[in-house]
Amino acid sequence: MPENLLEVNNLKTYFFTRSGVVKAVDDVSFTMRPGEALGVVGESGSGKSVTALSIIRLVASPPGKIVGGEILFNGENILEKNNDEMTELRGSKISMVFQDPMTSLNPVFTIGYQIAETVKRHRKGISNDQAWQRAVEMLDLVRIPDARRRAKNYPHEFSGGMRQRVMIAIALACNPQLLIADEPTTALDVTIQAQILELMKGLAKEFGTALMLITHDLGVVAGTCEHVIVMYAGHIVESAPVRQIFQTPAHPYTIGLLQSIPRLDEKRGTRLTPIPGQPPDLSREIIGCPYAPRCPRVQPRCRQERPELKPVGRGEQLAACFYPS
Amino acid sequence: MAQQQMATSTATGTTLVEVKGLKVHFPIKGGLFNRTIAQVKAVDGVDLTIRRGETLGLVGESGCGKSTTGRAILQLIKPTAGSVKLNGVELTKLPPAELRKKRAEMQMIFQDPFGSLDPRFTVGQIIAEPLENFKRGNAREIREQVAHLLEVVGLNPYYVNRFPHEFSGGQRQRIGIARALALRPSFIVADEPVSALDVSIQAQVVNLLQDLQAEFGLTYLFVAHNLSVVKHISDRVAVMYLGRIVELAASEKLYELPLHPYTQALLSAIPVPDPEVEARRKRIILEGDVPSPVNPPPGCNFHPRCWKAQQICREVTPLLEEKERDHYVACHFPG
Repeated sequence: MPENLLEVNNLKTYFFTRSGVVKAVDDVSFTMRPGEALGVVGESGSGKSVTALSIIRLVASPPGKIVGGEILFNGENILEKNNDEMTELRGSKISMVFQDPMTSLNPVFTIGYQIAETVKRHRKGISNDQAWQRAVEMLDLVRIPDARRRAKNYPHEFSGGMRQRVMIAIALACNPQLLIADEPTTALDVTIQAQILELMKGLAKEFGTALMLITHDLGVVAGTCEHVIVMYAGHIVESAPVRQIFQTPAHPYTIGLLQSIPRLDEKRGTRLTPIPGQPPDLSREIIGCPYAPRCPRVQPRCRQERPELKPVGRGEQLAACFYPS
Repeated sequence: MAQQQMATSTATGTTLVEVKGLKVHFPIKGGLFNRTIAQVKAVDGVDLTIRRGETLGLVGESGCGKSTTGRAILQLIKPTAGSVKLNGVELTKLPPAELRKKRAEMQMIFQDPFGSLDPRFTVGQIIAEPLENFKRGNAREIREQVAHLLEVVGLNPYYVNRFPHEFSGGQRQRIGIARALALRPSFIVADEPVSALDVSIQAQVVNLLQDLQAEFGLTYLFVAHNLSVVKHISDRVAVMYLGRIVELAASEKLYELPLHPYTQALLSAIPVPDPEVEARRKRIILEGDVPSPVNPPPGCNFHPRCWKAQQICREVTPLLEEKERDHYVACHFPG
């Protein structure tokens, strides 16, 4: 049994569009241990969702294509599997929860049917009754009140928060080893977000499921994850245990992000320090560090060479910067 | 910064906007002859005063009626009942021609920087439109004003002939702000002005809004669901739940000592970007979802989710009362 559950090495996922090649994920490497909660943080277009979609091989193709690297799951390269093997893997060993709970469920089937369908697909020889029982059990587990009756309801009879619970129920129905959640609470209200995060954290612990939480909200990561990777323009710019990301951030982008968000516990009259400019256009060739045009600490070298993700001398903390702090 | 604080402190006291008993009910049609079969009580009795030069934050979850309140104050939606006064003038009873003149004094910044700008207009045309409508000068003067406005919001006047699609979300939001400022309004309703923007861009727009307030002495009603942003920008904050205001206080006070159980839960649910703080915090997890505003619960409409609810909460609607100086709360058992 390999030590790492997931090992992503030099992943490159490009989109071939009419206006050029968009390097959405460009040379990304990271690992996940079994049961670990990993946060992936970045702004829109940073490549965090495409990284996740590459792992379960759901990148829309065309225009997208995984052009390089390897993704080892339990030591096996996912990129070498054929479609049947992937279908087998998805939902049973790796599952995913998407951002939008409104469109992720099929409106013409009952909630119970949709959970049972997943169970039947992956457990050979299970009877319809048993699959339905499992569906009710899962609804109970994600704290849908009166699960037996609610299993017969259709998605439109559920609120947004409840639908996201159903998605989690479907994702966990076959005890996967890895749960990927892509902005699972962004479409939900804060009080509902708190419910869902608590639930996912609890269930992942209970089943020993590794959790990959993709979000733009640093606050969500702080309370949920053990390790964090920060992405910018298709690259990982920093990777560190959660405490270090917030206490001793090394990459100027991470520092910039932390200074630009208002905190609920800040002092009155604090002024935000925005990051100037905008993220780069990924369809153009980027020479040097992609953050250089916005970086307050930029040096001539940053505009010529791309920095590698390297240890900054504080344990597990890595940063892709020539002049980390 | 000092300038901004002075602007707020010298100006507090005088009321710019006064809202009393504001109600907005949307009819649900159906059945035989398309009769009204029910009402969505989006805003159900809101009282607010907004002081000259301040920023009043209005927060709540989706469907609580915060945006509808903002729009009803500007008379973009006709209120079902209640009164709205701007500078002492009652807006709800103004004839259309008079109301149109008043619109120069009150403007809106919208959430969606993509949908709120006409794609067929150049940036110059978009910002010039209100100036032309209100005949603020000849063509040359308007051109000069547009160039000045672009500079004020931090865009290069050179962009005047470009179209909205050539700009990023943050830049478009700046165009929307320039348009709102064109007529030199005194009051601006900003409806989720940063929530569609990326985190690193949000701070740029928040700072811009604060600078403009200091420079032009603007009064804001800042409507948003993100309490961290609202707390940052607002002098006072009103919390809405299901069409009513449940608590209103100075933003520091509301955060340090929330009195309404809903505010307490809302504050505790917001993640703080600091793992140390997160580990120490106690979280109040509310059960269930927000009830439908078609058929709100009787009494205090928060009672089905409230851990303090007693018999009286199910029967009697609590009124928004001043429990401490300048701290209003609508709860039978505050604290």
